[in-house]
Order: sequence, then C-alpha cells, then structure tokens
Amino acid sequence: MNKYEVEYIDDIHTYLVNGVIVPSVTEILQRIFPDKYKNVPRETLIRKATYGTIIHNYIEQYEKGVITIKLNYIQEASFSQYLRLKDKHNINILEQEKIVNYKDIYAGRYDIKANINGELCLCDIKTTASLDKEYLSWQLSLYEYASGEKFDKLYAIWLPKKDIGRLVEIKRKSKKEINKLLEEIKNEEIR
Amino acid sequence: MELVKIENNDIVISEDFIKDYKNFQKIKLEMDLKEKEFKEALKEAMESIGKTEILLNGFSATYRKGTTKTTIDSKRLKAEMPEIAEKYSKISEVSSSVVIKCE
Repeated sequence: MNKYEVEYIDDIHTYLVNGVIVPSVTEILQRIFPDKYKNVPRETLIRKATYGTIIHNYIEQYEKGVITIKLNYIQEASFSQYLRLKDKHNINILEQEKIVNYKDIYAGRYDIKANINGELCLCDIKTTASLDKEYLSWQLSLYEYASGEKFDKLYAIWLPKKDIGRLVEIKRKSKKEINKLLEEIKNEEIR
Repeated sequence: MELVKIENNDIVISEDFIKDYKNFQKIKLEMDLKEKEFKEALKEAMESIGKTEILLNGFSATYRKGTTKTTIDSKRLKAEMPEIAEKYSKISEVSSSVVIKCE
C-alpha cells in the first residue's frame, strides 16, 4: 500500500502529499532553468501555452474516446501529425496524465506511458517551435523517478505548430544526478 | 468580384473571398506538411540505399549531403564589440505590409 496520499489542487496548481505542500516537477524545473522564458513576452507565453494545452487535452480526449473540443485547422494539423507518429512508430497508449510522487519530496503529472515498438516508454508532448532536450531530460527523468517504474526509453512527442511531428528520444538523468538535485532542494527548504 | 471596398469610411472585405482564403490556407498547410513528410521519407530512403538521384516522369530528386556553414553571432557581437557591430550595421527600408492571420 502506498503510504503517501497525493492531492492536486487545480485552482492553485499545487500538490499535497499527506496534506503537506510539495514542489511540483514544473517548479523544480523552474529552479533548474530560471531563465528559460526570461526574454519571452508574457502574451506570447500565454498564447503558446494555450496552444499546447488544447493539443494535450484533445489527444487525451481522443485516447479516451470522448472528444468535446473543437480544433481549428492549425490545431487539426498538429493532431494529424500525432496520428501519423502513432502509426509510424506503433505507439500504443497505456496511461495518460498520471499523478506521481517521490515520497513527500515532490510530485507531478506525466503525459503518457506507452508501448512504442514493443518497449515501455514515458513520453511528454511538446508543441514548442524548438525542443529543449536538456529540460526534457530532467522533466522525464523526474517523472520516471517518482513513478517508481523503469522505462525502456524516454521520448518527446514533438508536435511543433505548422510543422511535421517527430518522436525524439530523450537521454535520462542518472539516479546520482537526481538525488543530488533533490538533496539541494531539501537543503534549501531547511534554510 | 471586388475583394476590398471602402464603404462609409470603413473597409468591407468580400465574405466569399475570406471563405476561399481560409480553405486555401488549410489546404496549403496540409500540403506543406505532406511535402515535408515526403521529403523526410525520401531522404531516409535515399540514404538507406545510397541513391543520390531519382528521375521519374518529370519528377526529380537530388540528394545533397549535410554540410556546415559559418555565420556571425550578431547577438554576441553586439554585446562584446558594440562599436564594431554599430560600424557595420546598415539601415534598410522595409515596405509597409499587412499581416493576415486566420484560424
């Protein structure tokens, strides 16, 4: 039995483990990459995030077999690319949007657990114009670590707006690197 | 059909044109993506069997090897040698234009 009870409060994007607020994977990533969006205007960030959220939600609904969202033709093109990648790489979705936690240290929600060409994989959907592999490496490694599962491979399902989609393998961070990061976070909290 | 009219000091655009334009943009995007998919698949296939030329009923494809190119990092140049960047900067005219977006 899991001795950790995880709650997610949607309104304030906050995770609680056994009733205590813990940092999310996104917050940990902001700590590692504080300047990632430094020079991007707020409006642009919101517009891009909204595009990404619509594509994420549509894929989630499609995989569940219940679609309520209506896409415009640009979003439809991104979704067609997702279907093309699924077909090309034999992607079979096993689980979506699963909340995971590493003890009471951090929590987050991964996008997709899938069987890809016979291998168990953890995937994140990205709709950005360029792919930040270092960011993804930390993101997917942190999800994998928290899930307690061992995945064969980590992937970005990359669906850039108005461009062709790609399945990009992401190198994982070692346990040693993750533990070092978590140690730093713990020490900061104590201070 | 007049595409754009001015009526009572306002701009009126043909609704039929907007409809056609939206359809065109949708098809254009689909074809652009199809072309990219095609080029990617063709490149992979040509690389896998080492073929560099294809000629087929007025269609031709030539494989070009990847190469390197040298460019100037203007952001770094401006930051580290602003006077040089300024000296070799030039101002050119940019014509007025209209940006159209449709979804």
